[in-house]
Amino acid sequence: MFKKYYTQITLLLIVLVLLTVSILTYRNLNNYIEEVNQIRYSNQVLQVLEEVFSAVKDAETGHRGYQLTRDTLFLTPYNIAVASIILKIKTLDSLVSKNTEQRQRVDTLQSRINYQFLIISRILANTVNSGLYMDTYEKNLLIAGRLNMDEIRRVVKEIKVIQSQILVDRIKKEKTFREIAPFAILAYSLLAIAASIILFNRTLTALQNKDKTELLLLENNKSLKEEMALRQFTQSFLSNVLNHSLNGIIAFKSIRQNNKLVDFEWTLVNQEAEKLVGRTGSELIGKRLLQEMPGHKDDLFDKYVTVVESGQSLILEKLYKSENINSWFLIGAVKLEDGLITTFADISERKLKDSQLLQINEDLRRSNEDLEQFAYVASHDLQEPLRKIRAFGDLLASEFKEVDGSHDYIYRMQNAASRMQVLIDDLLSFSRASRGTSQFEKLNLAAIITEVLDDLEAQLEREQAKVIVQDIDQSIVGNKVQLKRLFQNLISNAIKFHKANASPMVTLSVKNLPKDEFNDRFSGLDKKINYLKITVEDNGIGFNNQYGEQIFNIFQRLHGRLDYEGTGIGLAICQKIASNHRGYILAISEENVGSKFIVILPRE
Amino acid sequence: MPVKTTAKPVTILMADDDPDDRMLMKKALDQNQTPHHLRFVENGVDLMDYLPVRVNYLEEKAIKPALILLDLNMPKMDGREALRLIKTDPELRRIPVVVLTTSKAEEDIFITYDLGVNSFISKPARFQELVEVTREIENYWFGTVDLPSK
Repeated sequence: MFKKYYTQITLLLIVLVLLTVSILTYRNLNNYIEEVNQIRYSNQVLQVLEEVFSAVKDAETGHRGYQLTRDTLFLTPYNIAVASIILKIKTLDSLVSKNTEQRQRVDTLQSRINYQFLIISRILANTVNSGLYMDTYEKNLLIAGRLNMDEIRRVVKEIKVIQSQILVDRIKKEKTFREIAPFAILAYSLLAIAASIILFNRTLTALQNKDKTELLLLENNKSLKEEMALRQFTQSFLSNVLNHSLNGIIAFKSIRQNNKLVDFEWTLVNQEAEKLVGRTGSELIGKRLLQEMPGHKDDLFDKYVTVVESGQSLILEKLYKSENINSWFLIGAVKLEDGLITTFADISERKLKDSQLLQINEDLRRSNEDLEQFAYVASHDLQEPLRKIRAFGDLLASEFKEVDGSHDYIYRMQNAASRMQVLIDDLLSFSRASRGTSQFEKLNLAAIITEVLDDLEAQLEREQAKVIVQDIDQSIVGNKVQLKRLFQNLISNAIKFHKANASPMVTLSVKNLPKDEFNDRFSGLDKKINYLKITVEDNGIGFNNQYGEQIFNIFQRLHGRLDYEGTGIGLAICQKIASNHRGYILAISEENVGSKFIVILPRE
Repeated sequence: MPVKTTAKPVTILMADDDPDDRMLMKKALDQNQTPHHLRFVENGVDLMDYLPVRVNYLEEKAIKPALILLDLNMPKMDGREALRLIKTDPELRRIPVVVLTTSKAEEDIFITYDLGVNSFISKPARFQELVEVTREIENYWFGTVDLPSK
């Protein structure tokens, strides 16, 4: 408050002080002038009084001379005195008009003088009529004149003394005023200078402040302009981004009644949203969602409300069938202040493809299941008649005598039936592996391999094979029967496909699969899981790497049955088992050098 | 090579719906010159009917079998269910049961042993093997092991 009016108050104070000092000085000067005037008056009074008195004395002297000489020449000073005295007294009267006491005295003087002149005129008149001697009348007149003259002298003296006293007082006063005046003027000047300095200073500060403020204002204006330009750029940039988005973007503001969210108001609609909704932004902005698109009522609105109230964003796929729209949308909703932003895209096409794909997958799965079921049932049910064929074939051979090579036919028939038996057995194993199993347990890999090698003992001995097992003491979770089958097939194959001129040598090693080997080839592997990498390597005949994947197909064989027996099912079973365990199997080989089968299995 | 003769011929009961298998078994036993009687039932229901499940344990027609040869896949009641009934019956559970089936499925082996089967044999493809198997069965169950009397 004070600060605000600081300048005004200062100015007011300065004006007041200067005004006061001015008045004081003015009065002082006035008084001084007055005193000077009064001194002049007093001097005049004394001078005029002297003139009056000398005129009276002149008149007195004149008429005495005339009385003695009767020469009229002596009457000249009297006549001059008579002529001037009235004016002189008048002057005197006016000079003392302000002093009542003196005036009374002057009045007394005037009447004495008038009286004196009356006496003189009577004496003169008497003189004209009388002789040379003085009569009594004349004598009385003279005595009266003398007494009156004494009185005049006394009054004049009185006036003189009083006026002199006044003069002395005035001179004293005048002296005081005269001494004070320079100081007063000096003080006034100093005050004025000080005030001027203060005012100048304030004005200067105010001007400087004004300059500064103006500069600041200018700068502010400049930055405001820059900011405006930036904002404009940002705005147009953002609006471009919004309108070039391939997603529909809509912003909503909550509409609340008694703090309950009852509807949303459109606040922003981008171009894609206009296209998808089939309405323009200007038609929608400011309007209510449920009024303009009541199709939101069923559950989308409630979900939006949850987004706003909980702050948790939402992503969902939704078939919107309302307001001439019939499409699948991928909708995302994110809370923004008291409202939300929704982004959405038409995914009808993808949805259609998805459902087609789903249908195809389902068909495929069913057909696979059917096939596996068929393989199982077929192989299982084929066993019975085949067994009968073989059993009765045996009976035929044993109970009947040979007629024209009939036993050879029976032998060939039995041979074929035997091969069919192997095929069916393998097929059955394959379909069993395909059907999967729920029996998973913690196993020791070394124990499994030991059992496998025991089972293969006959083959090992027959082929004089050597199996080297390295670092196998690892635990693994899996199905024992299947894992045995897997390694049995691999080791058995490694021995079976040996070179004619060299005894088979199989190396089996296990290690943890390093994480950096999780590459494209094992895209299905989970990086959070530890895997075992089991390698079965042989020095056999090998195969061309172009068959690296084919050899895992069922019934896929690379050699004639006469060269290497087999059904072409073993490796298919291996792959099935590996995939049952959520693992992989792959083969790397070089012809006439050897093959390497790598099995990747999760430890848990 | 004939089977070792025991003092007393017993009854071997075979439950199998396949007439060929019944015939082959009969032939195999004959070839072994078995002294024992072979009787047949064709499904689980018939088997449980034959066996005196309830009270008539010593009925005339029911000659108590010393051994049951059980096929797993049969109509009406399959071998697994029959095996479960036999092995949960306080009297019948003492009769040795040998599963003789075409199936070699792991789960069947597990299940039947879980239910208390005494042996699990898959039917051999060659007749000569069948003869061997039956001889071993007879030798084992009626020569080697001791069974509860009565």
